[in-house]
Amino acid sequence: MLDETQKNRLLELYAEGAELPAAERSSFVERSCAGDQELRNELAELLSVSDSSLEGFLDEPFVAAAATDHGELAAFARPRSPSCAAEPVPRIGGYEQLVWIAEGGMGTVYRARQVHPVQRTVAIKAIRPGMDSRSVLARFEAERQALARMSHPHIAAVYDAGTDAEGRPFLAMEFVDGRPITVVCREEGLDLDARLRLFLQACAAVDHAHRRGVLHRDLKPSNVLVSRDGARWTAKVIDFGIAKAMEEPFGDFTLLTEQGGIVGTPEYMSPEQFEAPGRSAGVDTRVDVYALGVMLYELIADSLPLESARLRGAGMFGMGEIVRLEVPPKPSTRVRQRTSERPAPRGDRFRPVPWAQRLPGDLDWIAMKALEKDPERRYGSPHELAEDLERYLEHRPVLAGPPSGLYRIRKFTRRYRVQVGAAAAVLLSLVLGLFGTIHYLLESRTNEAAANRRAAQALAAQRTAEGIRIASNAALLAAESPNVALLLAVEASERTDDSAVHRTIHRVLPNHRLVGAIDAFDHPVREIRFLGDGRLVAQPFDTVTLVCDPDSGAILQRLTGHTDVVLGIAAHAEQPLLLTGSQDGTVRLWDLDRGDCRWIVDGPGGAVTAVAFAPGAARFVALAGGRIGIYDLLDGALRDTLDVGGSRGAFLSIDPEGRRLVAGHAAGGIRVWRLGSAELEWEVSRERLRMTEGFELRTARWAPDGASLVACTISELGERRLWGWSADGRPRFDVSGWSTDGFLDAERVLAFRDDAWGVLSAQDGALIEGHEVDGLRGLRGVAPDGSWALGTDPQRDFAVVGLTDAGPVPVGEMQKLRGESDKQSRHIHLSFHPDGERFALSGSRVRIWSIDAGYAPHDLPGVPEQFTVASIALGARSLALLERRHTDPPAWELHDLDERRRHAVIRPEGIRQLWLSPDATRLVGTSWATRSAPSGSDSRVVTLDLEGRILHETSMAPSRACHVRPDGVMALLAFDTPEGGTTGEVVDLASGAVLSSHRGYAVSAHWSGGPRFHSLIYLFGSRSRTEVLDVATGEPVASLRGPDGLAHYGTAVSIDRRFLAVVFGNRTARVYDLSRRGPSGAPRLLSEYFDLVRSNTYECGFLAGGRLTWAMCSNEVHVFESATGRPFTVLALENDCVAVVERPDGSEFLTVTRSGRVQRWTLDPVAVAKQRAVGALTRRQLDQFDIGTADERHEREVENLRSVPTVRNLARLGELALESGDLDGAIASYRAALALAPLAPQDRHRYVRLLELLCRGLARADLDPARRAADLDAAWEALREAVRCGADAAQLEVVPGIEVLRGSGRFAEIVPR
Amino acid sequence: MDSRPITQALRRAADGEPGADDALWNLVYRDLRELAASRVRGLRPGQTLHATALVHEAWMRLSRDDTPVWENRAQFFGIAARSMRNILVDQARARQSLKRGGGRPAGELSTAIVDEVGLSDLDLLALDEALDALAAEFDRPSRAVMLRFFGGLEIADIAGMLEVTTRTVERDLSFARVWLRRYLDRA
Repeated sequence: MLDETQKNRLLELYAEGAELPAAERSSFVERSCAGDQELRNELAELLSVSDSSLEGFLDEPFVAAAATDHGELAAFARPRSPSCAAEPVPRIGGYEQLVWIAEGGMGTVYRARQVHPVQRTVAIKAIRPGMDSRSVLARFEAERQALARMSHPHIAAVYDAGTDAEGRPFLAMEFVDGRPITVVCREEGLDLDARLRLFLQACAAVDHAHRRGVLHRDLKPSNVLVSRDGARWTAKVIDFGIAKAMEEPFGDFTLLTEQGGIVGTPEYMSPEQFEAPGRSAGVDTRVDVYALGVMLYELIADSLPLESARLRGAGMFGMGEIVRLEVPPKPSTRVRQRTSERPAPRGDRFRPVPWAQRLPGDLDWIAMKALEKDPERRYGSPHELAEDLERYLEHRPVLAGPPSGLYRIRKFTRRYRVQVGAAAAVLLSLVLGLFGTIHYLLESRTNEAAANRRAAQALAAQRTAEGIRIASNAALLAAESPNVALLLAVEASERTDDSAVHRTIHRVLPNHRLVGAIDAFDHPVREIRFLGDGRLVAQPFDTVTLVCDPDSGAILQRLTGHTDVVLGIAAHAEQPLLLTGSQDGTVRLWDLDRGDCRWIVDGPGGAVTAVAFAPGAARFVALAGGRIGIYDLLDGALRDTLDVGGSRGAFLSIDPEGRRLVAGHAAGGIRVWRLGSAELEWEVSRERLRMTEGFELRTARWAPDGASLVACTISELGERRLWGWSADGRPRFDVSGWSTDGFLDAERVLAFRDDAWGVLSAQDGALIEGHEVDGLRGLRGVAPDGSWALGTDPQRDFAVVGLTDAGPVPVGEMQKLRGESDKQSRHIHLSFHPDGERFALSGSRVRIWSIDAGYAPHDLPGVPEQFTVASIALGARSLALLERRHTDPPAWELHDLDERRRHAVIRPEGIRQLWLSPDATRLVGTSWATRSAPSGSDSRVVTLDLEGRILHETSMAPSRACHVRPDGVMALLAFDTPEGGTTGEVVDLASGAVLSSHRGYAVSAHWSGGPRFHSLIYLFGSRSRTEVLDVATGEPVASLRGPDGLAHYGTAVSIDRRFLAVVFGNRTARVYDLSRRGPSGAPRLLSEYFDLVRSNTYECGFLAGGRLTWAMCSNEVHVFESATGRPFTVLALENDCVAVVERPDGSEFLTVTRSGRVQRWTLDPVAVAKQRAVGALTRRQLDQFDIGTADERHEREVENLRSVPTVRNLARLGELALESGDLDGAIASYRAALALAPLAPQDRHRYVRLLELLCRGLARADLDPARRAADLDAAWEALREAVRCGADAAQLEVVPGIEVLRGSGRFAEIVPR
Repeated sequence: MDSRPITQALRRAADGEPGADDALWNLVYRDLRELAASRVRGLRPGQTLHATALVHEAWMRLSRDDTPVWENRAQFFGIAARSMRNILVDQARARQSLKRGGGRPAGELSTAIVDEVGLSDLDLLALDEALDALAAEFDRPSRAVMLRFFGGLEIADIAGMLEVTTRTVERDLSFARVWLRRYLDRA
């Protein structure tokens, strides 16, 4: 055996020897091991192991970690292995000739021939056998949905999805016969502008995906394929395989694929993606911006920003370090370096780019800005990046620039502050806040005006970007925290009017049911109670009781006087009286009209935990230390004392008639007294309640008629038992498993279990009804009218539940009604507003909610089972006409949308089709079943009133078609002409007069132009020509052929006849100006909108008098500005939209879906958001969402604190004053805080803090004598109060500066030793 | 898989607590086995799972916990590589015993984790023995070889963990390969 020295020597020598040619090795061995035979043998043997025997032996890790040339396959994912190749090709109906192309994280991609229903080449992505775990299936489905949501000329489209013969899901997608963008650019020698234009296509595609909430996350050249279409190059973004909806950016994102390979390709991965999973919380759109930045760099510099070989050589961890820390050279620098490194390169890869001269400056900065390490400094979206590139291409100044620009702008703003005046002051503060986000190019030659303009432009862009970011964040909170989302949206609206803000608000409003919040408490609120007049009494864990106005959130009265926390409150049923019982041992009676304390009495001994009025008698009771005192309401005199039998968990309750009083305690034992005589009537012992060790008795409750009593016991392990008695003590039932929140009515008990709620009979405890609702654990309270209730979920959060005959149904999206900060408070109390529409929940603040979210969707009854929505009309009334399917003759129901009830059932004789007139005043029907074709001889048009009575009837006989104007006043009749064409006649249905006549063969015609339908639109040929006629004059208004002979789907004319909107077959919507003509005489194109998704039907129309255009595709309604095409909002509905109807006053519009869901949408979302958002963003939220500068946040915090002057807020103001060195301000704030009310013991530290501040102030030499005396008095006062709250000598003697007081004998008097 | 106990174990091991190493080893080993088993269950005959990927996945799961475990990655990968080796060897043993007519132990992995190691089961068992022998004589090369072939780490990562240069790692690996080859050839 070799010893350690020999071993080390062997290692060294082997390394040395192994590098020598085989022939020289033996002499090397002899030479180096002279005298050590053992070592010599070992070394010789090792060196003689032949290379051939080593071949294939441990030459690779058991899995090759490094990937092939970038862009081939997902890095780290194993390149195609033999076993994969052997994998059977999936069999999928309708597809043939599957050929393996590539492999991704979880699936294999094949090229295939689709044979049915269309013949074309497609790319099929199938889940690899064995990978079909639930999570993979879920991801696959997510990808399918992500792709389905997108429809863009530069994104490969999804054609089909389904399962193969083995039941594994697959996707059939557009097959892009292209090469990676970088390869095409290089091989085809595209010039710089052509490269940038291709790149812009990719940016547009990614931006489209982002706007639909989809991140790509694996952008790289091989996912941006370029193919030639004639002379044009077209880029398509493929493989959203690891795309994940942005909705969950804070979710469980991992870099790993199912196989354990890293998702993504390191060259294109942003620094934040290399963060440890769980820390990469901030992965958002800017990940894709970075990847685009790398591609841009590649396209313009012909080289990667960080060299691939170095990156991959650094290993799994080193890679992240490089990407996170190493700043690549500017593209121009890189090109220069490489040109000098390789003056005469042989491979054309390193040929200096011909546009090297164009790189320095704008292009450099654009690429570098996209590649910023800190996402905050990067372009916020591909759109921003693209805009800057377009600016470059159009020779306009770009926003990106060298950091030094910032310095210049600062100097600039300083120089011109005076001239620019107040605006510049704002500008300065904001510009300073921009640090590093946007740089400016301020060449020294630029004059002041230009510099000014540019700075303002940059500033505006920055504000917009910030606004969009805030709006996007808000959208993520739409369901979970609608109010915060709304506040954020309002915040965003102050920065930009981008459609992102409107979209967010439209998404949030349906969930927003918070109508008020009262945030004036220093401690969590234990109890709340609406008084009969709608005022709300709130009892925090404090000495003070507050009476609030739930509408304004204002504090109406602060009831102060108790010197310790209030534990129980009771409101009188008829008079404005309130009882409070406190830890300080007293009971106070308050007059709520005058806001003062009528009198104070001592409780029966110790802390008063519960108080109650005796209904109908001038008595009240108070519970303290296991005893109940009965008092006279008039003079507060103690009449009787009752013994409960125990004090822990004691409770009391008086029946609603005021006859009996029940009391009990946790250890068991219930006693019932006659209230008038105070004599014990009956009792139940612990043993009778079968309470063994660990059981507790919870509160007992009377039925509303006072005839029954229930109580429940619960064990440590949560075993429950519910007991019922008659009022005179006869046992009625005991049932296990249930506990109760009280009675539903005199006969029914509302009970709940872990997993269900139920209604039990008050007579025998039998289950009358019981239900389970997903996510609900029980019902906590039923609204006064019994139509809805509040349910709780397992996290003890609340949800509004509608009570129907069929059981509870969640109302709208199940929403968390407790705030994050409420989670800490143990007590959560609920009270219903007397109006039956609102309720309040206690917590760290009191929130007031409405049962109705206002903009929440409303389902028409009976849809979709038997009915379809025939039409909707909003006039004086809002009506929906439902048609019963598959019945002959058909039947209709008219529903009132505002009142949410059925208005009438309509069955007109011989009528096959019926609709509402647009003003909702009557119904129009025809005797034929389709809108345009009369069926046979009985061709009638009828007008009915809203009850279904016939108002008017016309018969007619068009030979070809009849289009009745929706208001039933006119019809267009089409006749075949002997020459083989058609003519159209517009006739007045009342008189039968022909108003105008038109020639030409139309495939379709419809009426348009708002409620007066002044325009008639004909579609000609294969819907590729639109003619617009003026109905009144019969004159043609416009004739339009769309681009490239595309089919015209939706068409509409605006109410002011100014605009014509058309949705074309390529999913673009265009708006034309009918008042102006282009060169060919066709109406002039005003705007274009591209973002529509694939759909079977497209319709369009106008809102807000033509200012906005809507286009409906599948389940989305897109609204954009008619004049500019600027997006206004996109509404995502639950399923296909069938109608968009505007209210006549233009305030809002409704959408109706196929399934009968009606939803309101405001046309002024920002105003509605401002009106409905409750409260203000907290400091924490401002920080969290990075809103404004630090100074602005500070100011807003101060403002927020000042607006709600509670002890806590004033103390916080004091601390903020102290931070800025203002001791006097701090003292003043604290004194104001402590003057509000006597503090509870848990707040003693505030007195101590004031004491400390005063002592520090007193130590100042320059204090004037009057002030000194006042402060000294205040200090003594603070000391006394601190002691009252339980501060002891040990605590007080260490207060800094206390020496001022401690020297005096008074100190010892006040402070107990 | 709950990574919490592992994190704690890692921390305790880093603090040098006695017995912590064993606890850590048990946890990582159990984890990897479970992970492998769960992955393997989804495989079809003839399909493979990659040992390295498993180790990396285990690591990523572990480090998802928001703790300063990054400092302990050398330790983790050391243990994980050892675990992986044990799993592979156990598997090979199980298959061998199956061939000899022995019953399949309950809960054993039913499909190969790695088929394309280039080694048969017998080779793998022999290699296992050889690795033990190498470890007994040359510690650092044996650790390098474990990290490389069973942990799937890059040379640079291994160098960082063993606190040597990449050059040394390359030499160690080359040495270990030759040494193991010779050992196997002799046997």
